[in-house]
Amino acid sequence: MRCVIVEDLQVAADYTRRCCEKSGVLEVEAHFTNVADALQYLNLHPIDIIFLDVEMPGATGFDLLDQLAYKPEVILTTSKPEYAYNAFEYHVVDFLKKPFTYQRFTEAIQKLSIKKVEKEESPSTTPSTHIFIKTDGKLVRLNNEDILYIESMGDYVKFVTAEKKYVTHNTIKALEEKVNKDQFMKVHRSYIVNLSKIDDIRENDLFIKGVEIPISKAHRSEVMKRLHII
Amino acid sequence: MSQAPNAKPFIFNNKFDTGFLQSMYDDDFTYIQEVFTITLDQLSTDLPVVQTDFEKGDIASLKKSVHKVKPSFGYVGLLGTEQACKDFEDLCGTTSDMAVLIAPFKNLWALLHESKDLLIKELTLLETHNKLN
Repeated sequence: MRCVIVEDLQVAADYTRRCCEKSGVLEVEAHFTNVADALQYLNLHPIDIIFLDVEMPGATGFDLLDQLAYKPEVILTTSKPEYAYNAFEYHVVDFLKKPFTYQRFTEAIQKLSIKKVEKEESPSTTPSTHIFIKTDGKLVRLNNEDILYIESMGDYVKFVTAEKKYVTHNTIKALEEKVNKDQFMKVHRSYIVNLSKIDDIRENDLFIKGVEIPISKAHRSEVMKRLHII
Repeated sequence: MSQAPNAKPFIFNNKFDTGFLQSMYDDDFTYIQEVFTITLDQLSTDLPVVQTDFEKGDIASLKKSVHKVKPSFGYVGLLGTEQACKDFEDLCGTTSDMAVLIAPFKNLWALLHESKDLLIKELTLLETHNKLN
């Protein structure tokens, strides 16, 4: 498995690299001391695993995960146990409190292997054609083909159809996992769009029924790949 | 971590948590020497930032810079110093009054320097030990 270390403390990065080498199953492709450099690399070179520190100069490890155009497995390495809740929210494989022993490191790698096997063995399911959302005290069925885009509103999201807007308690991050990935795509930390509803794209924005939706730098190349450009 | 086969044990100063160092690095004293060297190098950059943040009276920055030095002491087995950093970091999170932090900071600052000096001495001893073995 190919991995990258994002860590501003040199001694910690060196130690993690040695643990990876000792494991015999992890190949360290690169090490970065800040989020900006890591993002630039990771968006061009997709990898399997990131060993990610949280507090770094400029931006946090969570900022990196928010801006990354794909979802590699993540093992958080931090000296602050307070981040455990965020770790859970971001579905990271494990949370290693620095400094950690090699024994603890191997436990994290075992979790990673189990997750990988589970993923491979999970039966492929036919992508759903609809979703149900809880709004105004009832469950409302929304057909995928009717949804234009989904917009973040803090702890809520707005599902926008041509006819109506529905607000429900949820996050873009959580929905990204649940929507049909063939049809929907996150284009910005605040937006998931129905790819078949895009009318046009100008510079760093796309338009759906006259509404301007920003495309973040991190997602732009992936958006362009998903379009049928002749 | 890559255990040297015939390495003679090195007896660390009792301020270092030997059990913890063993669990991190086995008896790879060459690597421990490298860890001590890198850490001292890092501290020479990070400790002045702590001092500057204290002098500026910027509690949020001070909390961050103390957080930054904290794991460095962990990696070299000075767990008491690491814990003292954590305690101070926690204290920073409970007050917006710099006056509350002055005395605890003086204690911490003295401990950080004492720990750094101890590390320098231990590194010298370790270098000698590694040359002879």
